[in-house]
Amino acid sequence: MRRLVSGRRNAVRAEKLLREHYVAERAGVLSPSERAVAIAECVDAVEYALTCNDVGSEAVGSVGRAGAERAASERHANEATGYELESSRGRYGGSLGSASGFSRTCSAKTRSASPSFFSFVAFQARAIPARIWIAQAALIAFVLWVCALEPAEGFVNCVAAALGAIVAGLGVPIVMASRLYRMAELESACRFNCRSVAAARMVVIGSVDVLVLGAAACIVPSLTNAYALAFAMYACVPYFAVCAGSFAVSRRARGFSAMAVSVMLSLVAIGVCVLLQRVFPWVYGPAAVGAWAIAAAVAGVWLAREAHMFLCTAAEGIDAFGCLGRFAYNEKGCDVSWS
Amino acid sequence: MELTIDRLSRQFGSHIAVDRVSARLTPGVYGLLGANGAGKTTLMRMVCGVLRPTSGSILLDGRDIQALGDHYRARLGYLPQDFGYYPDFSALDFMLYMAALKGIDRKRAKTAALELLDLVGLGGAARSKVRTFSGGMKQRLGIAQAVLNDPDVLVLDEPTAGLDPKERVRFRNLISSFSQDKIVVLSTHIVSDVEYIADEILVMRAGAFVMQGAPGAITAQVEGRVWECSVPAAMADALAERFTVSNVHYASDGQAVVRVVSDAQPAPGARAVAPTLEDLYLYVFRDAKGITDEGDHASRNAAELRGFVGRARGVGRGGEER
Repeated sequence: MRRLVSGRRNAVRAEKLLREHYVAERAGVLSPSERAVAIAECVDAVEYALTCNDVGSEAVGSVGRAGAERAASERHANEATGYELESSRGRYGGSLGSASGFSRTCSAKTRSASPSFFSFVAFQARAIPARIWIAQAALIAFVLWVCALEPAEGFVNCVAAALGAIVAGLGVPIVMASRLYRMAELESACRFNCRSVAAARMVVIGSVDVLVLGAAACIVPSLTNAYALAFAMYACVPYFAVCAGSFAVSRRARGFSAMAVSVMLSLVAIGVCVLLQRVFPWVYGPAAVGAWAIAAAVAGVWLAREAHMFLCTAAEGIDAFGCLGRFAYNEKGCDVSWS
Repeated sequence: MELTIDRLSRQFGSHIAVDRVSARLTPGVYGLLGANGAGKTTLMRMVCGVLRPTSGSILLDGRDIQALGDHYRARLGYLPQDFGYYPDFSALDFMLYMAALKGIDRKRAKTAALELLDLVGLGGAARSKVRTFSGGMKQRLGIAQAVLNDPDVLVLDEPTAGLDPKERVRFRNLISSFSQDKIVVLSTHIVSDVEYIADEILVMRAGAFVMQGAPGAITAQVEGRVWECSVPAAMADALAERFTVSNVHYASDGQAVVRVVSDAQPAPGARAVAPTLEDLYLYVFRDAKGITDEGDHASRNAAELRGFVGRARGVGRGGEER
């Protein structure tokens, strides 16, 4: 009982001391030595309150408790150094519930840690919703099922092209999600800004898409008469074209829904692929392999260019998108100039 | 630490949103006051590097923030006027995501995120989806993410929008304790948000600073222009139409105490009172119908006089004819 009362009394005293010294500190009436003494008194009171019982610590508050514990351990470890004065604000802040206190107690450690872009990419991968991965897996399963039903070479090649368009339509909106969900302004002001976010998502989505198309290219030929390399090539052309077209339109269209653009281009690409298979079936035959290879190379170069320009635009700020006719790139680098 | 804004301008087509604004900011709290369309948000976006200026520069300790790049943004905290969220995120997910963007170590991020959520009163909703949050909860989440990386420069655009009075007081205390060695710039329409905590007020109008200084100093500029008068309740409406009225209090005896911002005495018996920051705001941003009280008064008098003279001439002519 005595400990209960003592603990509660010390907690109240600690809080009162902290408030008084905080006000005095703000008013600048404490000298550095007086401040150090004040800190010691406050920490002692809080420590005792915490060691007594939960009632005492509740009075300090859950926020203050963590700060006080941390501050107390820091004081014991750094008593001989001037660090005590630096962490004094943390103890004030912690016990008064100030964010700055907690930020300061860990800011030296959090800010000094410098995560790599690789770890940032890994985090972006975790941030992508699970439904995207589920959709990709379902898509592969569907393609395998369709190809197993109709193993004719021309049909399988058409399915490969359609697969490329669908995979692009699923992935590109993820890259543009910052604009879609109005997070671009917040992200632009961060250390890893919109450009970094878009680049990380391109890496993640691009890698997964390569795996999906690669897996399909490896498995489908075992079920049909198709060739793996040809399957991959038929998938790449619409994939590159839909991605590049989505980036190009999204970069120039202010307020345009990235998802709508991507889906629309994807549907158009699927429609063209199916139409070609119905009207000009020889397009998917051996005679046109060379043309498809050239188309894949051209579409690949186009995609690389549009992806690069999309990243440059993302780095220019929230109003850089949609500046049709007013925004000129220096193709030598990412230097952009307003025209 | 010093943030220097040097002749900063931003133009959208033919509209100049920010017009050659200059300021030198040292650690402390700066309140940015201005009406809608004054250029506050545009200025704040340029300070955060979210928008490129048309001309001018922003320097942190003498170095251009564009050149500093991510080194500057690592020391920056920003709360936009309006921001979205990814639909699958909970409050904790959102904080961890922002922590990753700010380059905070993953192990520390969770601790800091939970503590900040608790601090802004969202500790119990850490696992709830952001899409289920009210406007005030979302705003508090935004405040929490802004201070997550213990920024040296904190820019808050309308931070108290949607907060109830208790939360606004909590926010003010948070900013007060936070700003000891930091530059905090916050824009607001709610004058009381900055009146007690701001070290300096920047009044912005039509893209430029029209007043700059400590709250007491700039409030003194409207000394002698704030009046209180007790008038019949029916006259209070008439006064409101002719002058900029900051407050009307109707008493039970049919009288009304009216607080007026005006260059000239608005009614006989009106006494000058000490101005507040809100009075200053109303004086600077009074609308077209009260642009110059004397001018309006004079033009109204002139019209009445012309009417009187016209009527008088008509009576005189009739008398002569008789």
